[in-house]
Amino acid sequence: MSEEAAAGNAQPVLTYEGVSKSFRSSGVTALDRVDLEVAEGEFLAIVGPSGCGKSTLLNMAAGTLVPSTGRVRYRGEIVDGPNTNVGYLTQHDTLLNWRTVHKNVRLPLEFRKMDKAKAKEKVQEVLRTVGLPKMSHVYPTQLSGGMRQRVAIARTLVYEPSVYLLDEPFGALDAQLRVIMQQELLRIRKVTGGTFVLVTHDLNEAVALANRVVVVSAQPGRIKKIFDIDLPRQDDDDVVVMSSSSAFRNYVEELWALMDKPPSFEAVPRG
Amino acid sequence: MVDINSPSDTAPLSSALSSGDDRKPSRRIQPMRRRGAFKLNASRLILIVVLVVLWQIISDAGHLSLYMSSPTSVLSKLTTWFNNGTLGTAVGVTLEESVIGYVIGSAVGAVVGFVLGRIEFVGKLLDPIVLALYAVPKIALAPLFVLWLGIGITTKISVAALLVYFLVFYNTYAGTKQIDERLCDQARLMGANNWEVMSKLVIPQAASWCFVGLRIALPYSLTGAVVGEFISSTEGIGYEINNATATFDTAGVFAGVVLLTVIALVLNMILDVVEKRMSRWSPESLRADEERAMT
Repeated sequence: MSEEAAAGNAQPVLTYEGVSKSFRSSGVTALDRVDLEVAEGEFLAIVGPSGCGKSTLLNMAAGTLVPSTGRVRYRGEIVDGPNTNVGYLTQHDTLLNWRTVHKNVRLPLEFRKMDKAKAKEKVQEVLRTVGLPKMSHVYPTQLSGGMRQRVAIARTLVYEPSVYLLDEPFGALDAQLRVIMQQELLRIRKVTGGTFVLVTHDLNEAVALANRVVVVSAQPGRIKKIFDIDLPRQDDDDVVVMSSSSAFRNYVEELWALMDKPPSFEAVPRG
Repeated sequence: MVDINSPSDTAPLSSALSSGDDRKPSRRIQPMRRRGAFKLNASRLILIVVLVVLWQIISDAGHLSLYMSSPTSVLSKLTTWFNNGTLGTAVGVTLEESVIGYVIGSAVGAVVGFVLGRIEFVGKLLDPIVLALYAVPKIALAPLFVLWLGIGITTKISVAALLVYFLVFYNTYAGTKQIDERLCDQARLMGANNWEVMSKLVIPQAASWCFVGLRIALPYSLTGAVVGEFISSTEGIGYEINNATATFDTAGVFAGVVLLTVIALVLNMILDVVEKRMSRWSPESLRADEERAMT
Protein backbone atom coordinates (compact mmCIF):
# COMPACT_ATOMS: atom_id res chain seq x y z
CA MET A 1 0.00 0.00 0.00
CA SER A 2 2.58 2.57 1.12
CA GLU A 3 4.85 2.07 -1.86
CA GLU A 4 1.98 2.67 -4.27
CA ALA A 5 1.04 5.84 -2.48
CA ALA A 6 4.62 6.98 -2.49
CA ALA A 7 5.44 6.32 -6.12
CA GLY A 8 3.96 8.67 -8.68
CA ASN A 9 3.99 5.97 -11.38
CA ALA A 10 2.25 3.41 -9.17
CA GLN A 11 0.53 0.40 -10.67
CA PRO A 12 -3.02 1.23 -11.78
CA VAL A 13 -5.82 -0.29 -9.72
CA LEU A 14 -7.83 -1.30 -12.77
CA THR A 15 -6.56 -1.80 -16.28
CA TYR A 16 -8.70 -2.44 -19.37
CA GLU A 17 -6.60 -3.88 -22.19
CA GLY A 18 -8.30 -3.83 -25.59
CA VAL A 19 -11.58 -4.88 -24.04
CA SER A 20 -14.51 -5.65 -26.33
CA LYS A 21 -17.84 -7.10 -25.44
CA SER A 22 -20.55 -8.28 -27.76
CA PHE A 23 -23.72 -9.94 -26.58
CA ARG A 24 -24.55 -12.96 -28.66
CA SER A 25 -28.23 -12.98 -27.77
CA SER A 26 -28.89 -9.46 -29.06
CA GLY A 27 -25.98 -9.20 -31.52
CA VAL A 28 -25.05 -5.89 -29.93
CA THR A 29 -21.43 -4.85 -29.67
CA ALA A 30 -21.46 -2.99 -26.38
CA LEU A 31 -17.77 -2.18 -26.19
CA ASP A 32 -15.12 -2.00 -28.87
CA ARG A 33 -11.40 -2.23 -27.96
CA VAL A 34 -11.41 -0.09 -24.85
CA ASP A 35 -8.09 0.76 -23.20
CA LEU A 36 -8.34 2.49 -19.86
CA GLU A 37 -6.44 2.75 -16.61
CA VAL A 38 -7.89 3.69 -13.27
CA ALA A 39 -5.28 5.08 -10.89
CA GLU A 40 -5.07 4.54 -7.16
CA GLY A 41 -7.23 6.98 -5.21
CA GLU A 42 -8.80 8.74 -8.17
CA PHE A 43 -12.47 9.44 -8.77
CA LEU A 44 -13.23 8.48 -12.36
CA ALA A 45 -16.59 9.12 -13.99
CA ILE A 46 -17.76 7.37 -17.15
CA VAL A 47 -20.43 9.16 -19.16
CA GLY A 48 -22.14 8.25 -22.39
CA PRO A 49 -25.56 7.62 -23.92
CA SER A 50 -27.55 4.70 -22.57
CA GLY A 51 -26.59 1.36 -24.05
CA CYS A 52 -22.98 2.38 -24.69
CA GLY A 53 -21.61 -0.26 -22.37
CA LYS A 54 -20.83 1.92 -19.36
CA SER A 55 -22.24 -0.61 -16.92
CA THR A 56 -20.53 -3.39 -18.83
CA LEU A 57 -17.20 -1.81 -17.94
CA LEU A 58 -18.08 -1.94 -14.26
CA ASN A 59 -19.40 -5.50 -14.43
CA MET A 60 -16.17 -6.66 -16.00
CA ALA A 61 -14.12 -5.01 -13.25
CA ALA A 62 -16.36 -6.76 -10.73
CA GLY A 63 -15.81 -10.05 -12.51
CA THR A 64 -19.50 -10.75 -13.03
CA LEU A 65 -19.08 -10.39 -16.79
CA VAL A 66 -16.28 -11.72 -19.00
CA PRO A 67 -14.91 -9.64 -21.88
CA SER A 68 -15.31 -11.12 -25.37
CA THR A 69 -11.76 -10.09 -26.21
CA GLY A 70 -9.05 -8.32 -24.26
CA ARG A 71 -8.73 -8.46 -20.50
CA VAL A 72 -9.35 -6.58 -17.31
CA ARG A 73 -6.71 -6.52 -14.59
CA TYR A 74 -7.06 -5.66 -10.94
CA ARG A 75 -3.66 -4.53 -9.62
CA GLY A 76 -2.01 -6.44 -12.40
CA GLU A 77 -3.94 -9.66 -11.96
CA ILE A 78 -6.48 -10.78 -14.52
CA VAL A 79 -10.03 -10.64 -13.18
CA ASP A 80 -11.62 -14.02 -13.85
CA GLY A 81 -14.25 -14.41 -11.14
CA PRO A 82 -16.11 -12.32 -8.57
CA ASN A 83 -13.67 -9.61 -7.53
CA THR A 84 -14.04 -9.32 -3.77
CA ASN A 85 -11.85 -6.22 -3.65
CA VAL A 86 -14.62 -4.09 -5.12
CA GLY A 87 -17.78 -2.64 -3.67
CA TYR A 88 -20.67 -2.32 -6.09
CA LEU A 89 -23.55 0.15 -5.76
CA THR A 90 -26.47 0.43 -8.16
CA GLN A 91 -29.64 2.49 -8.21
CA HIS A 92 -31.49 -0.60 -7.02
CA ASP A 93 -30.36 -0.78 -3.44
CA THR A 94 -30.75 -4.60 -3.16
CA LEU A 95 -31.23 -4.47 0.59
CA LEU A 96 -32.66 -7.57 2.26
CA ASN A 97 -36.08 -6.55 3.53
CA TRP A 98 -36.22 -9.31 6.12
CA ARG A 99 -33.07 -8.14 7.87
CA THR A 100 -32.76 -5.04 10.04
CA VAL A 101 -30.50 -2.21 8.95
CA HIS A 102 -27.78 -3.48 11.27
CA LYS A 103 -27.96 -7.02 9.92
CA ASN A 104 -28.03 -5.78 6.33
CA VAL A 105 -24.85 -3.82 6.85
CA ARG A 106 -23.29 -6.73 8.73
CA LEU A 107 -23.88 -9.15 5.84
CA PRO A 108 -20.47 -8.73 4.13
CA LEU A 109 -18.73 -9.17 7.48
CA GLU A 110 -20.63 -12.44 8.00
CA PHE A 111 -19.33 -13.61 4.64
CA ARG A 112 -15.85 -12.56 5.68
CA LYS A 113 -16.19 -14.42 9.00
CA MET A 114 -15.41 -11.39 11.11
CA ASP A 115 -15.61 -11.77 14.86
CA LYS A 116 -19.12 -10.79 16.06
CA ALA A 117 -18.18 -8.13 18.57
CA LYS A 118 -15.76 -6.55 16.14
CA ALA A 119 -18.38 -6.66 13.39
CA LYS A 120 -20.93 -4.92 15.59
CA GLU A 121 -18.54 -2.10 16.29
CA LYS A 122 -17.63 -1.76 12.64
CA VAL A 123 -21.30 -1.66 11.59
CA GLN A 124 -22.03 1.10 14.10
CA GLU A 125 -19.05 3.03 12.81
CA VAL A 126 -20.16 2.98 9.16
CA LEU A 127 -23.76 3.75 10.10
CA ARG A 128 -22.41 6.88 11.79
CA THR A 129 -20.43 7.66 8.65
CA VAL A 130 -23.53 7.59 6.46
CA GLY A 131 -25.54 9.57 8.99
CA LEU A 132 -27.82 6.81 10.29
CA PRO A 133 -26.37 6.00 13.73
CA LYS A 134 -29.72 5.31 15.39
CA MET A 135 -31.33 3.23 12.67
CA SER A 136 -29.80 -0.16 13.54
CA HIS A 137 -32.98 -1.97 14.47
CA VAL A 138 -35.24 -0.55 11.81
CA TYR A 139 -36.26 -2.62 8.79
CA PRO A 140 -35.53 -1.33 5.27
CA THR A 141 -39.26 -1.26 4.50
CA GLN A 142 -39.57 1.54 7.04
CA LEU A 143 -37.03 3.73 5.26
CA SER A 144 -37.32 6.26 2.43
CA GLY A 145 -35.41 5.85 -0.82
CA GLY A 146 -32.58 8.14 0.28
CA MET A 147 -32.14 6.35 3.58
CA ARG A 148 -32.18 2.94 1.89
CA GLN A 149 -29.42 4.11 -0.42
CA ARG A 150 -27.42 5.29 2.60
CA VAL A 151 -27.77 1.84 4.12
CA ALA A 152 -26.59 0.31 0.84
CA ILE A 153 -23.59 2.63 0.91
CA ALA A 154 -22.88 1.62 4.52
CA ARG A 155 -23.06 -2.06 3.52
CA THR A 156 -20.38 -1.37 0.89
CA LEU A 157 -18.19 0.75 3.16
CA VAL A 158 -18.24 -1.82 5.93
CA TYR A 159 -15.86 -4.25 4.26
CA GLU A 160 -13.51 -1.53 3.08
CA PRO A 161 -13.19 -2.49 -0.58
CA SER A 162 -10.32 -0.74 -2.31
CA VAL A 163 -12.43 0.17 -5.36
CA TYR A 164 -16.00 1.45 -5.32
CA LEU A 165 -17.96 0.79 -8.50
CA LEU A 166 -21.01 3.06 -8.65
CA ASP A 167 -23.56 2.41 -11.37
CA GLU A 168 -25.93 5.39 -11.41
CA PRO A 169 -26.19 5.08 -7.64
CA PHE A 170 -28.60 7.98 -7.25
CA GLY A 171 -30.54 7.44 -10.46
CA ALA A 172 -33.72 6.47 -8.67
CA LEU A 173 -33.74 9.44 -6.31
CA ASP A 174 -35.47 12.75 -6.87
CA ALA A 175 -33.39 15.75 -7.95
CA GLN A 176 -33.05 17.34 -4.54
CA LEU A 177 -32.12 14.12 -2.76
CA ARG A 178 -29.66 13.32 -5.50
CA VAL A 179 -27.72 16.52 -4.81
CA ILE A 180 -27.75 15.76 -1.10
CA MET A 181 -26.43 12.27 -1.72
CA GLN A 182 -23.70 13.57 -4.05
CA GLN A 183 -22.61 15.87 -1.27
CA GLU A 184 -22.68 12.95 1.12
CA LEU A 185 -20.59 10.83 -1.21
CA LEU A 186 -17.91 13.51 -1.35
CA ARG A 187 -17.93 13.76 2.42
CA ILE A 188 -17.79 9.97 2.91
CA ARG A 189 -14.97 9.67 0.44
CA LYS A 190 -12.90 12.08 2.50
CA VAL A 191 -13.37 9.75 5.49
CA THR A 192 -12.75 6.46 3.73
CA GLY A 193 -10.44 7.20 0.84
CA GLY A 194 -10.30 4.57 -1.88
CA THR A 195 -10.72 4.57 -5.64
CA PHE A 196 -14.10 5.42 -7.15
CA VAL A 197 -15.48 4.61 -10.59
CA LEU A 198 -18.84 6.20 -11.27
CA VAL A 199 -21.07 5.46 -14.24
CA THR A 200 -23.65 8.14 -14.87
CA HIS A 201 -25.54 9.92 -17.61
CA ASP A 202 -25.78 13.03 -15.48
CA LEU A 203 -22.98 15.31 -16.69
CA ASN A 204 -23.34 17.64 -13.71
CA GLU A 205 -22.88 14.71 -11.39
CA ALA A 206 -19.78 13.59 -13.28
CA VAL A 207 -18.13 17.00 -13.17
CA ALA A 208 -19.11 17.65 -9.56
CA LEU A 209 -17.69 14.38 -8.24
CA ALA A 210 -14.88 13.21 -10.50
CA ASN A 211 -11.25 14.11 -11.11
CA ARG A 212 -11.42 12.53 -14.56
CA VAL A 213 -14.36 12.03 -16.89
CA VAL A 214 -14.34 9.45 -19.67
CA VAL A 215 -16.75 10.04 -22.55
CA VAL A 216 -17.90 6.85 -24.22
CA SER A 217 -19.53 6.84 -27.67
CA ALA A 218 -22.82 5.16 -28.53
CA GLN A 219 -22.83 1.58 -29.85
CA PRO A 220 -20.27 0.32 -30.20
CA GLY A 221 -18.83 1.89 -27.05
CA ARG A 222 -15.43 3.46 -27.62
CA ILE A 223 -13.58 5.99 -25.55
CA LYS A 224 -14.01 9.35 -27.24
CA LYS A 225 -12.11 11.56 -24.89
CA ILE A 226 -10.88 11.74 -21.34
CA PHE A 227 -11.20 15.02 -19.45
CA ASP A 228 -9.19 16.03 -16.42
CA ILE A 229 -11.50 17.99 -14.19
CA ASP A 230 -9.52 20.71 -12.53
CA LEU A 231 -11.85 22.60 -10.25
CA PRO A 232 -10.89 24.32 -7.03
CA ARG A 233 -12.35 22.07 -4.31
CA GLN A 234 -12.67 22.98 -0.68
CA ASP A 235 -13.65 20.81 2.25
CA ASP A 236 -17.11 22.25 2.64
CA ASP A 237 -17.82 22.67 -1.05
CA ASP A 238 -21.48 22.80 -1.88
CA VAL A 239 -22.29 20.86 -5.04
CA VAL A 240 -24.96 23.36 -6.05
CA VAL A 241 -22.73 26.39 -5.51
CA MET A 242 -19.88 24.65 -7.28
CA SER A 243 -22.01 23.84 -10.30
CA SER A 244 -22.82 27.50 -10.86
CA SER A 245 -19.20 28.51 -11.47
CA SER A 246 -18.23 29.23 -15.05
CA ALA A 247 -15.39 26.69 -15.02
CA PHE A 248 -17.93 24.02 -14.02
CA ARG A 249 -20.36 25.06 -16.77
CA ASN A 250 -17.56 24.98 -19.32
CA TYR A 251 -16.75 21.39 -18.47
CA VAL A 252 -20.38 20.37 -18.70
CA GLU A 253 -20.80 22.12 -22.05
CA GLU A 254 -17.67 20.51 -23.47
CA LEU A 255 -18.90 17.10 -22.35
CA TRP A 256 -22.35 17.73 -23.75
CA ALA A 257 -20.91 18.72 -27.14
CA LEU A 258 -19.05 15.40 -27.25
CA MET A 259 -21.96 13.19 -26.25
CA ASP A 260 -23.58 11.11 -28.96
CA LYS A 261 -27.22 12.03 -29.25
CA PRO A 262 -29.87 9.77 -30.68
CA PRO A 263 -30.45 10.49 -34.42
CA SER A 264 -33.97 11.74 -33.75
CA PHE A 265 -32.56 14.40 -31.46
CA GLU A 266 -31.48 16.75 -34.25
CA ALA A 267 -34.50 15.97 -36.37
CA VAL A 268 -37.19 17.14 -33.97
CA PRO A 269 -39.62 19.22 -36.08
CA ARG A 270 -40.30 22.64 -34.70
CA GLY A 271 -43.61 24.46 -34.44
CA MET B 1 -53.52 20.77 15.83
CA VAL B 2 -51.01 18.00 15.39
CA ASP B 3 -51.34 15.97 12.22
CA ILE B 4 -52.19 12.75 14.00
CA ASN B 5 -53.92 11.39 10.92
CA SER B 6 -51.11 11.72 8.43
CA PRO B 7 -49.95 8.30 7.29
CA SER B 8 -46.80 7.34 9.15
CA ASP B 9 -45.06 6.18 5.94
CA THR B 10 -44.44 9.72 4.80
CA ALA B 11 -42.56 10.73 7.91
CA PRO B 12 -39.18 9.15 7.10
CA LEU B 13 -39.00 10.82 3.69
CA SER B 14 -39.37 14.31 5.01
CA SER B 15 -36.85 13.64 7.73
CA ALA B 16 -34.42 12.18 5.19
CA LEU B 17 -34.37 15.52 3.43
CA SER B 18 -33.18 17.30 6.50
CA SER B 19 -29.58 16.38 7.18
CA GLY B 20 -30.23 14.80 10.58
CA ASP B 21 -32.31 11.86 9.46
CA ASP B 22 -31.16 9.54 12.22
CA ARG B 23 -34.47 9.96 13.95
CA LYS B 24 -36.56 6.87 14.61
CA PRO B 25 -39.52 6.41 12.29
CA SER B 26 -42.65 7.93 13.64
CA ARG B 27 -44.32 6.15 16.51
CA ARG B 28 -47.25 8.45 16.98
CA ILE B 29 -50.59 7.46 18.30
CA GLN B 30 -53.33 7.14 15.75
CA PRO B 31 -56.61 7.13 17.64
CA MET B 32 -58.63 7.56 14.48
CA ARG B 33 -57.46 4.24 13.13
CA ARG B 34 -58.36 2.47 16.40
CA ARG B 35 -61.79 4.01 16.55
CA GLY B 36 -62.25 3.03 12.90
CA ALA B 37 -61.34 -0.58 13.66
CA PHE B 38 -63.86 -0.77 16.50
CA LYS B 39 -66.60 0.69 14.35
CA LEU B 40 -65.82 -1.77 11.58
CA ASN B 41 -65.90 -4.80 13.90
CA ALA B 42 -69.11 -3.69 15.56
CA SER B 43 -70.75 -3.18 12.17
CA ARG B 44 -69.66 -6.62 11.04
CA LEU B 45 -71.19 -8.22 14.13
CA ILE B 46 -74.45 -6.37 13.62
CA LEU B 47 -74.54 -7.41 9.96
CA ILE B 48 -74.09 -11.08 10.87
CA VAL B 49 -76.79 -10.93 13.54
CA VAL B 50 -79.19 -9.24 11.12
CA LEU B 51 -78.56 -11.89 8.47
CA VAL B 52 -79.14 -14.74 10.93
CA VAL B 53 -82.35 -13.17 12.22
CA LEU B 54 -83.56 -12.58 8.65
CA TRP B 55 -82.81 -16.22 7.85
CA GLN B 56 -84.93 -17.31 10.81
CA ILE B 57 -87.82 -14.98 9.92
CA ILE B 58 -87.97 -15.89 6.23
CA SER B 59 -87.69 -19.57 7.01
CA ASP B 60 -90.54 -19.42 9.57
CA ALA B 61 -92.83 -17.13 7.59
CA GLY B 62 -92.45 -18.95 4.27
CA HIS B 63 -92.50 -22.49 5.67
CA LEU B 64 -89.24 -22.97 3.82
CA SER B 65 -87.50 -24.94 6.52
CA LEU B 66 -87.21 -28.00 4.27
CA TYR B 67 -85.13 -26.06 1.72
CA MET B 68 -83.22 -23.53 3.75
CA SER B 69 -83.50 -24.85 7.28
CA SER B 70 -83.23 -22.20 10.01
CA PRO B 71 -80.70 -21.05 12.60
CA THR B 72 -82.59 -22.73 15.42
CA SER B 73 -82.80 -26.10 13.72
CA VAL B 74 -79.10 -25.92 12.74
CA LEU B 75 -78.29 -25.17 16.35
CA SER B 76 -80.38 -28.08 17.62
CA LYS B 77 -78.76 -30.36 15.04
CA LEU B 78 -75.31 -29.30 16.26
CA THR B 79 -76.42 -29.99 19.84
CA THR B 80 -77.61 -33.45 18.90
CA TRP B 81 -74.31 -34.17 17.11
CA PHE B 82 -72.41 -32.89 20.08
CA ASN B 83 -74.37 -35.09 22.51
CA ASN B 84 -74.19 -38.31 20.52
CA GLY B 85 -70.47 -37.85 19.74
CA THR B 86 -70.90 -37.40 15.99
CA LEU B 87 -69.53 -33.86 16.18
CA GLY B 88 -66.29 -34.84 17.87
CA THR B 89 -65.63 -37.75 15.52
CA ALA B 90 -66.51 -35.83 12.36
CA VAL B 91 -64.41 -32.79 13.22
CA GLY B 92 -61.53 -35.00 14.39
CA VAL B 93 -61.50 -37.12 11.24
CA THR B 94 -61.78 -34.21 8.83
CA LEU B 95 -59.15 -32.19 10.71
CA GLU B 96 -56.77 -35.14 10.71
CA GLU B 97 -57.18 -35.66 6.97
CA SER B 98 -56.75 -32.01 6.08
CA VAL B 99 -53.86 -31.28 8.43
CA ILE B 100 -51.85 -34.32 7.34
CA GLY B 101 -52.68 -33.56 3.71
CA TYR B 102 -51.70 -29.93 4.22
CA VAL B 103 -48.36 -30.77 5.77
CA ILE B 104 -47.43 -33.34 3.13
CA GLY B 105 -48.64 -31.21 0.21
CA SER B 106 -46.87 -28.10 1.53
CA ALA B 107 -43.58 -29.83 2.21
CA VAL B 108 -43.41 -31.55 -1.16
CA GLY B 109 -44.68 -28.45 -2.99
CA ALA B 110 -42.13 -26.15 -1.35
CA VAL B 111 -39.19 -28.45 -2.02
CA VAL B 112 -40.11 -29.32 -5.61
CA GLY B 113 -41.02 -25.71 -6.39
CA PHE B 114 -37.73 -24.48 -5.02
CA VAL B 115 -35.61 -27.06 -6.82
CA LEU B 116 -37.33 -26.59 -10.19
CA GLY B 117 -37.17 -22.83 -9.76
CA ARG B 118 -33.42 -22.93 -9.21
CA ILE B 119 -32.52 -25.33 -12.00
CA GLU B 120 -33.05 -23.23 -15.08
CA PHE B 121 -33.09 -26.02 -17.66
CA VAL B 122 -35.55 -28.21 -15.79
CA GLY B 123 -37.69 -25.17 -15.12
CA LYS B 124 -37.85 -24.27 -18.81
CA LEU B 125 -38.47 -27.90 -19.74
CA LEU B 126 -41.39 -28.29 -17.37
CA ASP B 127 -42.89 -24.81 -17.56
CA PRO B 128 -45.68 -25.60 -20.10
CA ILE B 129 -46.51 -28.88 -18.36
CA VAL B 130 -46.71 -27.18 -14.99
CA LEU B 131 -49.01 -24.51 -16.41
CA ALA B 132 -51.25 -27.10 -18.02
CA LEU B 133 -51.50 -29.11 -14.81
CA TYR B 134 -52.20 -25.94 -12.88
CA ALA B 135 -55.23 -25.34 -15.06
CA VAL B 136 -56.68 -28.82 -14.49
CA PRO B 137 -59.41 -28.92 -11.84
CA LYS B 138 -57.55 -31.18 -9.42
CA ILE B 139 -60.83 -32.33 -7.90
CA ALA B 140 -61.43 -34.25 -11.11
CA LEU B 141 -58.57 -36.53 -10.14
CA ALA B 142 -60.16 -37.45 -6.80
CA PRO B 143 -62.02 -40.55 -8.10
CA LEU B 144 -58.69 -41.89 -9.36
CA PHE B 145 -57.34 -41.83 -5.84
CA VAL B 146 -60.25 -43.95 -4.70
CA LEU B 147 -59.34 -46.45 -7.42
CA TRP B 148 -55.71 -46.47 -6.42
CA LEU B 149 -55.87 -46.12 -2.67
CA GLY B 150 -59.26 -47.43 -1.65
CA ILE B 151 -61.79 -45.68 0.51
CA GLY B 152 -59.70 -45.23 3.66
CA ILE B 153 -58.18 -42.09 5.14
CA THR B 154 -55.22 -42.29 2.71
CA THR B 155 -57.47 -41.24 -0.16
CA LYS B 156 -58.72 -38.10 1.61
CA ILE B 157 -55.24 -37.16 2.74
CA SER B 158 -54.03 -37.59 -0.83
CA VAL B 159 -56.75 -35.42 -2.32
CA ALA B 160 -56.08 -32.68 0.25
CA ALA B 161 -52.33 -33.00 -0.31
CA LEU B 162 -52.76 -32.79 -4.07
CA LEU B 163 -54.73 -29.54 -3.91
CA VAL B 164 -52.29 -28.02 -1.43
CA TYR B 165 -49.27 -29.27 -3.32
CA PHE B 166 -50.11 -27.43 -6.51
CA LEU B 167 -50.75 -24.10 -4.83
CA VAL B 168 -47.62 -24.20 -2.70
CA PHE B 169 -45.54 -25.60 -5.54
CA TYR B 170 -46.66 -22.97 -8.00
CA ASN B 171 -46.08 -20.01 -5.71
CA THR B 172 -42.70 -21.25 -4.57
CA TYR B 173 -41.69 -22.06 -8.14
CA ALA B 174 -42.73 -18.66 -9.48
CA GLY B 175 -41.10 -16.87 -6.54
CA THR B 176 -37.84 -18.76 -6.77
CA LYS B 177 -37.53 -17.93 -10.44
CA GLN B 178 -37.91 -14.24 -9.63
CA ILE B 179 -34.97 -14.11 -7.25
CA ASP B 180 -32.80 -11.12 -7.95
CA GLU B 181 -29.59 -12.33 -9.57
CA ARG B 182 -28.03 -8.89 -9.16
CA LEU B 183 -28.39 -9.32 -5.45
CA CYS B 184 -26.67 -12.72 -5.60
CA ASP B 185 -23.86 -11.25 -7.71
CA GLN B 186 -23.38 -8.45 -5.22
CA ALA B 187 -23.23 -10.93 -2.38
CA ARG B 188 -20.46 -12.79 -4.19
CA LEU B 189 -18.50 -9.54 -4.45
CA MET B 190 -18.99 -9.14 -0.72
CA GLY B 191 -17.30 -12.50 -0.32
CA ALA B 192 -20.19 -14.95 -0.15
CA ASN B 193 -19.67 -18.55 -1.28
CA ASN B 194 -22.40 -20.51 -3.03
CA TRP B 195 -23.78 -21.96 0.17
CA GLU B 196 -24.03 -18.52 1.79
CA VAL B 197 -25.79 -17.09 -1.26
CA MET B 198 -28.26 -19.97 -0.95
CA SER B 199 -28.85 -19.86 2.80
CA LYS B 200 -28.78 -16.10 3.37
CA LEU B 201 -30.33 -14.76 0.17
CA VAL B 202 -32.10 -17.34 -1.96
CA ILE B 203 -33.94 -19.39 0.65
CA PRO B 204 -35.27 -16.43 2.66
CA GLN B 205 -36.56 -14.81 -0.54
CA ALA B 206 -38.15 -18.02 -1.74
CA ALA B 207 -39.69 -18.54 1.69
CA SER B 208 -41.68 -15.33 1.51
CA TRP B 209 -43.25 -16.51 -1.75
CA CYS B 210 -43.78 -19.98 -0.39
CA PHE B 211 -45.73 -18.43 2.46
CA VAL B 212 -48.18 -16.86 0.04
CA GLY B 213 -48.84 -20.37 -1.29
CA LEU B 214 -49.22 -21.78 2.21
CA ARG B 215 -51.82 -19.16 3.02
CA ILE B 216 -53.87 -19.66 -0.14
CA ALA B 217 -53.65 -23.44 0.18
CA LEU B 218 -54.96 -23.71 3.73
CA PRO B 219 -58.71 -23.74 2.95
CA TYR B 220 -58.03 -26.09 0.02
CA SER B 221 -56.78 -28.75 2.39
CA LEU B 222 -60.27 -28.74 3.92
CA THR B 223 -61.86 -28.81 0.48
CA GLY B 224 -59.73 -31.80 -0.47
CA ALA B 225 -60.64 -33.74 2.65
CA VAL B 226 -64.36 -33.00 2.30
CA VAL B 227 -64.44 -33.89 -1.40
CA GLY B 228 -62.68 -37.14 -0.58
CA GLU B 229 -65.34 -37.83 2.02
CA PHE B 230 -68.10 -37.02 -0.46
CA ILE B 231 -66.87 -39.65 -2.85
CA SER B 232 -66.63 -42.46 -0.38
CA SER B 233 -66.37 -42.52 3.37
CA THR B 234 -67.95 -43.63 6.60
CA GLU B 235 -67.13 -40.65 8.79
CA GLY B 236 -66.07 -37.01 8.72
CA ILE B 237 -67.85 -33.72 8.10
CA GLY B 238 -68.09 -34.39 4.36
CA TYR B 239 -69.73 -37.72 5.11
CA GLU B 240 -72.25 -36.09 7.47
CA ILE B 241 -73.12 -33.46 4.89
CA ASN B 242 -73.53 -36.07 2.19
CA ASN B 243 -75.60 -38.22 4.47
CA ALA B 244 -77.83 -35.31 5.49
CA THR B 245 -78.38 -34.38 1.84
CA ALA B 246 -79.43 -37.93 1.01
CA THR B 247 -82.07 -37.86 3.74
CA PHE B 248 -83.31 -34.31 2.99
CA ASP B 249 -81.93 -33.20 6.35
CA THR B 250 -81.20 -29.59 5.37
CA ALA B 251 -80.31 -28.62 8.94
CA GLY B 252 -77.64 -31.34 8.89
CA VAL B 253 -76.09 -29.92 5.71
CA PHE B 254 -75.95 -26.44 7.18
CA ALA B 255 -74.61 -27.77 10.47
CA GLY B 256 -71.75 -29.39 8.52
CA VAL B 257 -71.07 -26.14 6.67
CA VAL B 258 -70.99 -24.23 9.97
CA LEU B 259 -68.43 -26.70 11.35
CA LEU B 260 -66.24 -26.32 8.25
CA THR B 261 -66.41 -22.53 8.50
CA VAL B 262 -65.35 -22.58 12.13
CA ILE B 263 -62.45 -24.94 11.39
CA ALA B 264 -61.28 -22.79 8.47
CA LEU B 265 -61.39 -19.66 10.61
CA VAL B 266 -59.41 -21.26 13.42
CA LEU B 267 -56.77 -22.65 11.05
CA ASN B 268 -56.43 -19.24 9.44
CA MET B 269 -55.91 -17.60 12.80
CA ILE B 270 -53.14 -20.07 13.63
CA LEU B 271 -51.47 -19.35 10.30
CA ASP B 272 -51.77 -15.61 10.98
CA VAL B 273 -49.80 -15.95 14.17
CA VAL B 274 -47.09 -18.07 12.54
CA GLU B 275 -46.83 -15.72 9.58
CA LYS B 276 -46.47 -12.66 11.75
CA ARG B 277 -43.59 -14.25 13.57
CA MET B 278 -41.85 -15.15 10.35
CA SER B 279 -42.31 -11.86 8.52
CA ARG B 280 -41.76 -9.29 11.20
CA TRP B 281 -40.22 -7.03 8.60
CA SER B 282 -43.29 -6.60 6.43
CA PRO B 283 -44.82 -3.12 6.48
CA GLU B 284 -48.13 -4.49 7.77
CA SER B 285 -46.71 -6.29 10.77
CA LEU B 286 -44.45 -3.35 11.61
CA ARG B 287 -47.47 -1.09 11.68
CA ALA B 288 -49.33 -3.57 13.86
CA ASP B 289 -46.33 -3.60 16.20
CA GLU B 290 -46.43 0.14 16.53
CA GLU B 291 -50.08 0.08 17.41
CA ARG B 292 -49.55 -2.64 19.98
CA ALA B 293 -46.69 -0.72 21.54
CA MET B 294 -48.99 2.18 22.22
CA THR B 295 -51.50 0.38 24.36
